[in-house]
Amino acid sequence: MAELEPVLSPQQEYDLVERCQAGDRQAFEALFQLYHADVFRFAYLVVRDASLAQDVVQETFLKVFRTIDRFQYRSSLKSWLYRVVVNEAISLLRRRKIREDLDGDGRAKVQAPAARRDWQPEEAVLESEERSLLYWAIGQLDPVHRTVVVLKYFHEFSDAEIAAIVGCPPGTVKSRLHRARLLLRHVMAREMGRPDLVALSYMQLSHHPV
Amino acid sequence: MRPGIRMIREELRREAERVPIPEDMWQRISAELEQDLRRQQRRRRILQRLRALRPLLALTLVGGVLGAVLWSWSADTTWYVPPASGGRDVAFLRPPKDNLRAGYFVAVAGWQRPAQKQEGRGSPSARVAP
Repeated sequence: MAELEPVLSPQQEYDLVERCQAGDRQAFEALFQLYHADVFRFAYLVVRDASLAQDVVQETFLKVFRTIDRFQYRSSLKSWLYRVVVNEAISLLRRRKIREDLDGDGRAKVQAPAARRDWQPEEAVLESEERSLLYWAIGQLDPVHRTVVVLKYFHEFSDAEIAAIVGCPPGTVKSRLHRARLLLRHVMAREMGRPDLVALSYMQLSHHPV
Repeated sequence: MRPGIRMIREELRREAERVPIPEDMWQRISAELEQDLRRQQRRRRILQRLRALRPLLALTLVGGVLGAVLWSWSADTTWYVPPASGGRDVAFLRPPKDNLRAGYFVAVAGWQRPAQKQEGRGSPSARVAP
């Protein structure tokens, strides 16, 4: 992920924000071109749907451009941008969940990958199945935990940066990451039919606060 | 079996690379921004017109308030001591008899009109000079 990150010196970032605040359309486009790919990937990994991710990106940049005159450098531009996209993605998922609950679709849970139970002992097959199961399991996390996982393991933000983005103390970020890993282990153990590991992860989860 | 950090990272990267980045996003955002700009310009024009009308609006408002006060004041307003006061030294300004004018009076002076019943039972002798 590191090679995808735009390289902007603090002075360049300041100049770009100044131009955006002055209403310069070219500066808006430059800002969009710098960050849209990362923001889209983040949105996609959190909402798990390309067209929804596109909506999230659109809403994010519109909100950023509309409110950039209020940006006061309390955090970096990138942190601020990610704070907006996190809020947009989570609120979209919540709205969608409410709509699904109202429509009665919430009962229809997404199934785990079909081939998961008849895996062969061969290492390659096992690993490939584990991988597809892992991605499915990440999708089973609630949006808050999934967001932290994507910010940490995909975008490689530090705990302090994630804390600034999601608006909670760094200790809470650590705790959410730990719990997310426990949940992933639990879901995978359950789906792969390992009752011993299910029991173990369940025990660890019950001792770990949300 | 155990989802290691490396595995999570690789899986997220693999999945992110699988999805192409849409190319028309800037066009959509740009169109929205264009609409925003037009909306802002329209709002600014309306505000400018309103600002130009401000002296006239202020004059109308002040004139209206003054007119309402004078109109209600010119009616037959009198001071009286309500019978329920128990001889205490209180006096109220009686609102005009005319209901329409009384309405203005109450609205302008922020004064509650006494209940009709009380007024009916009250003695006119309780009136005092302002």
